[in-house]
Amino acid sequence: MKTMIWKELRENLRWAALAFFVLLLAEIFTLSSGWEAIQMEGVTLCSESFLLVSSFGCAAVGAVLGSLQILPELRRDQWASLLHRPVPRHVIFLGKVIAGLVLYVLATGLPLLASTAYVVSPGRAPAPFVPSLLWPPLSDILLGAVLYFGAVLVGLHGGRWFGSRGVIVLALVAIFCLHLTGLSPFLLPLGAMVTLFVAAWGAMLGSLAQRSWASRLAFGLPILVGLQTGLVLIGLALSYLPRRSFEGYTYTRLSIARDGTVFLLHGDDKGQSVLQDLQGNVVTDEKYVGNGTSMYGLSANMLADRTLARGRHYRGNFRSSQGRVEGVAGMYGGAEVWYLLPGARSYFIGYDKLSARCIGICDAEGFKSVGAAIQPFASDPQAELSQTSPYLCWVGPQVLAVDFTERQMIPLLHVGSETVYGLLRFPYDNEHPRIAVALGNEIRISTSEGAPVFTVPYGYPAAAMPQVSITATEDFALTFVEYIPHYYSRSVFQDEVHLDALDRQGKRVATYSPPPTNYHPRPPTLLMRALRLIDLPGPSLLASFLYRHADDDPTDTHPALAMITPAVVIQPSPGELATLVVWAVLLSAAAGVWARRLGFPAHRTVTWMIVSLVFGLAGFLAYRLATAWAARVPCPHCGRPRPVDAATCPHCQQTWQAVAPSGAEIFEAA
Amino acid sequence: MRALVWKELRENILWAVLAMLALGAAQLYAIHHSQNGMDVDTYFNDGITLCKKQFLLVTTFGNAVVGLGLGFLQVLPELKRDRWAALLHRPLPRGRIYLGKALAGVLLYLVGAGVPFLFVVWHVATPGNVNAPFIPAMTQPGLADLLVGFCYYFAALTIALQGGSLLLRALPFFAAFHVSVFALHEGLFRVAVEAGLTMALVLGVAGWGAIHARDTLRGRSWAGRIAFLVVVFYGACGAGDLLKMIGVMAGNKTESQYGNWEVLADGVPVRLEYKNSIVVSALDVDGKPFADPKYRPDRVRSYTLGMNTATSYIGDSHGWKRQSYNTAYRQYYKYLYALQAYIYPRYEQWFYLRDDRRFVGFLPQKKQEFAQLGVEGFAPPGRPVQGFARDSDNSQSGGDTLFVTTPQSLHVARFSRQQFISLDLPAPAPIYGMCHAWANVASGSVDFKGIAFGTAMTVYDANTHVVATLPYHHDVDRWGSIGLGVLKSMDRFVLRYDPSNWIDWNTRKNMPSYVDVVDATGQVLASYTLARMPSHGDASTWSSYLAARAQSPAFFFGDLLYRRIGAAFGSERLRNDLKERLGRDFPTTKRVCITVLLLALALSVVTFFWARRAQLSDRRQWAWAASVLVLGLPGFVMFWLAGERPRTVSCPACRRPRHIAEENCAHCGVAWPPPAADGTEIIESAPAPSPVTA
Repeated sequence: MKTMIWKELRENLRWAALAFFVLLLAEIFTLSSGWEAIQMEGVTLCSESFLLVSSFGCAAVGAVLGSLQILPELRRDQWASLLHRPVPRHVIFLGKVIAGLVLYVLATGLPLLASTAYVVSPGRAPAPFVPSLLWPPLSDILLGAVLYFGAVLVGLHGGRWFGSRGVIVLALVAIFCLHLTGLSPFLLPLGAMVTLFVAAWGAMLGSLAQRSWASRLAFGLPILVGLQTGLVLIGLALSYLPRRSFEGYTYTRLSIARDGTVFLLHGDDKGQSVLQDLQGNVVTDEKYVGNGTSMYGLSANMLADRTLARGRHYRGNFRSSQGRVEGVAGMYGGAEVWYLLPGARSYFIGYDKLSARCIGICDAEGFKSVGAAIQPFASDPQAELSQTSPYLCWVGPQVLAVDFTERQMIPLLHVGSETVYGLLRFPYDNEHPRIAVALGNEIRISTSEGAPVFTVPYGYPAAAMPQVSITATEDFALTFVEYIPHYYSRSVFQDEVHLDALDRQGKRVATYSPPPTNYHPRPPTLLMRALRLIDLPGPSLLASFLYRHADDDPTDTHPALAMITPAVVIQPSPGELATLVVWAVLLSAAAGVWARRLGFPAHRTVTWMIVSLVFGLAGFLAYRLATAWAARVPCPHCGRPRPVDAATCPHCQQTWQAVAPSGAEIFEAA
Repeated sequence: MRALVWKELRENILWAVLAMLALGAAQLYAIHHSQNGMDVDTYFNDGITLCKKQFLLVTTFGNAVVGLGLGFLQVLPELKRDRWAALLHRPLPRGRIYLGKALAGVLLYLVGAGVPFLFVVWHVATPGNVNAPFIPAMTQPGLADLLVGFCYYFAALTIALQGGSLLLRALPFFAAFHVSVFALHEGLFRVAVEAGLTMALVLGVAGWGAIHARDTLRGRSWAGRIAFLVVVFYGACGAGDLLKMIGVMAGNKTESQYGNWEVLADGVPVRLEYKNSIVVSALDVDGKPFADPKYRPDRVRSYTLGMNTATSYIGDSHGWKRQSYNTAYRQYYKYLYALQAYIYPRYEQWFYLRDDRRFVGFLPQKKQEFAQLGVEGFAPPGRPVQGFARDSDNSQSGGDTLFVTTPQSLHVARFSRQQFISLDLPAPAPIYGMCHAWANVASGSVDFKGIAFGTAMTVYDANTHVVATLPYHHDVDRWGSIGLGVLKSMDRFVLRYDPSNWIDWNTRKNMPSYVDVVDATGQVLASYTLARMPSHGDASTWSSYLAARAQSPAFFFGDLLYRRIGAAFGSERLRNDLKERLGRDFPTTKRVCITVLLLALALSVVTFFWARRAQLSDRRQWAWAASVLVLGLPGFVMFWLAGERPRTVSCPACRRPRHIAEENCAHCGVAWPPPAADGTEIIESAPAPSPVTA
């Protein structure tokens, strides 16, 4: 095997070196090109541009190395020469894979190492480095290994490019896309890698019939995923064909004018709107419906979600730098930029943009110079994103205002044993804004210096109306508190919204509740109904059961669900469920009939039927592509097709005819 | 040849169809990709339909990939010995085989890249699919990319057919890359198309030459040789383009440093100093920092006034003419621009078509045109509409209102009511210009419009009411570049007077500016004199510095000559370019010129001695040296990689390099020695020839 490894290393080292240089240049290029873009997209190794290079780069390197190790040797003479060694095939395979992985790790790991060194060295990037920033690019390296094994499998499997090979490529595309969503960043690539490794191993050993059951199963999985991906893509493309039509709805929203007058804004799906007062009269006063006035009414900004105490949970995913390093000040102007390093040992750290060097820190004891001992905050500081100065945050029960330019950390408010759910400066553009602190049972309003103004208990229970937004007129004569269900709730259109108007003392002076949105989804077209048949029946039913009580759309948090049930909603109607089940049964029956006509043995027939029943159309086709099928010729007796490797015809049960003697026989007939 | 074309079509049509589907899907996705992720798209900052950034990204890279892929697929699989022999073992000359392949490849490329583009054009042109009008000229960027894709196709053929080092074989790709870069940066569609077609032709001829003789130029016709050398030259230029892009990593050679005057929300001027686009200081008119912490450099930009300039001069223009802006063909605003969509009382989106000088209105949810606006007012779609005058100007206000001016008239269009009203001029004509200003209030901003007349600036609100008429209080003949701002109270205004544009730059840069805070009656409440800022320095990168000096003298002087000739034939664009390079930028032009010439000279000398050492003939030594003198660094790369040098070995007699093909050593004149006898010879050796004396 050592010889095999050396051969592969020698043959492919130059390609790995080329990949290394290209990836190194691209990664350093993204890190060095403009700190401003980096701040907006994410920090250094988690910036969007770096991860774009890292994900596509690693995938490309893996796919190319895998292909280069297999495809050029597939020419007949070279392949024979390769196999004509006194070693079993699996040794050749392992030799190739070990050499390939070594080259791959060198070609992708070294650039990441160099990028890390670049980021860590002072004066390069005006941002701190924390080891967890490495996780997303490391997961990309793992993803590239998936592509490597995928390319090896595609090379070794002898199918058609526009058949099973193409389907495997589609499966790789699906895995790549799912990885980019941040779904199971290490588990997904690891699982896919093991599956493809086993499938490729089997492909090296011979045709499908010669492979072990594990290898056949491992081969079937990417075929199934690839087929489902293809079906989803076709479905997506077809869904663009019919002219997009809006679902019919009319809505009524509360509209708050700048002077605090509340109106009802009626709208519909045609884009028509009309403003009415609370008595139902159409508003004609130019002050409210004049040109452009709709652009500058008051809008309430979200203060808190009372079912979620930690604001950071809303933000980012695995591939984002949020949760590792968060920009808090200086993102839009000024020579300094400040970050929060969240977690158990959280503190703020500042950098000079021009010199890209650290200028100080701010921890539980206040502002300190570089190198001073760090006293982390007692708990993770929580705050709204995109704030103007000073930066408002809360650390446990303590509300703080941190002015990074003036190097001041001012304690504004201590809420004792209460839990803070949200903290907001409002109205957004007011020169002297107020501060709202959302607690468990009340909202405390104070001046921007922390002087209490009033406290108002919530008007509606957290279970029904968890999200609270707030705004006020410019002179604070009226403060408006809006209560809504979860913003991303799938039933938000139908749910109620309540708006409370408070006077200067915090006394509720009015409550407004617009009628719920009148929502009439149009019945789906025939084509859209047909597209629902690409759902995987088994997983779809399971997802429907698991998420039967879910309020939010689970495909937001679990993107893989969109591939399993691209058309059917997670909570399907009985009609949709029935259609899905009937379709699965029909496919299963079709598989049974087809298998019978082909003369499949009982166990293969049953397997195909079960696969079709559970995985629907994709399963029906996957079984066709992922299993060995004997070539068929017309039966000399009944003329119907029969497999060449079966002794008897499945239709007429006749054996093969003996070859007619031609006189040239050298053996006597038995 | 027909059989060969069919063979190629049959073998590769599936790949072309795959490319067609993939590219079509990507282009459709890019067309419908919405910034806000919603079906109704009124976000046009990234461009409009066929000129959208995402769409052009797909056409730029997609067509190149399809061209390269098809080119490689047509040749590489057949390069295996048996198949190549089988291919060439036809009763056809090699040139015909190449022609058959190229013909089929062009057809396949048109299927793979042309069909999706045509489909998308049809899709965009069909009402109800996209929320924007279709203008046939908007197909130009996509067409240019389609044509540049041919360069990549022929580059792939040339790479596959050409022998030699990997570096040499990569150069056709870089030649195509150079054309891509050129097409991306060139302003004129015609020039981009000419460049693309010419390079495709050159690459095609180079590939035709390569099929005749894979490893040497000698077996090729003169056209094939020249084409290949041209490809190598432009390949070196393309590699330079790539290095220039990567070279940005080396950082800036000089930092950008500049300052300007802005006005704070309370009407007080502030002097902002920038370094690398970062505000490093905010000072008042006396050069002192502000006491108010909100005017610290890191946050002062949040408290400055939104001001715009209405006019570049008032009164006599003193012969100065407004410079017309040449918009590149890849920019959507060359063809049209979108006004701000508004939602009350109906969701509407209006576009201005530049060539027709008329507006068209769209219903974003239906994605259909519903009205148009010309000089005679509103009209239903489809009816011929007379466009606005060439010297007209327009500016949106608030949501559904549009101000339209000519020097002698002022009109207002209320889109939602479909009214086109002529307004009485509040001051004597002519109108010198118009600008937008907005007051920041607690819940957003309020729009105002400033119309500059000869004696005063009239301010309108978004409902077209005159809010104020502000007489000028400075010498507007010399300080006639006038800007307007509105304070938060909306009854105080700021007029800024900058030197008129007719005054030459050297005088202007030493003149002060003025800022007046005035009330609605035009009374000056405060006045400030703004000292001129010292001249600023632009940032320059090391890569652009080196790239300018590494260019070919032929390019450098050819470019100047092209502009000179263009200017002589009346091109304003080329005249302005030339004026800038030989006027304000002359010191830089001179320095670059000297460096380019010196580098070319040095490389030419190196080439001469290298050619001499390689024992090229005298004529070829001089020819290569002259070529490198004219072509500079890319010419040197051409000599290095493509210049064929005779193979030499060490002479057994004098040890100096000698031609392997020559009987006698050029240095010592000794012939090759016979091989030493080892006793296995079957032919008696001839007597050794006597040495030839030089």
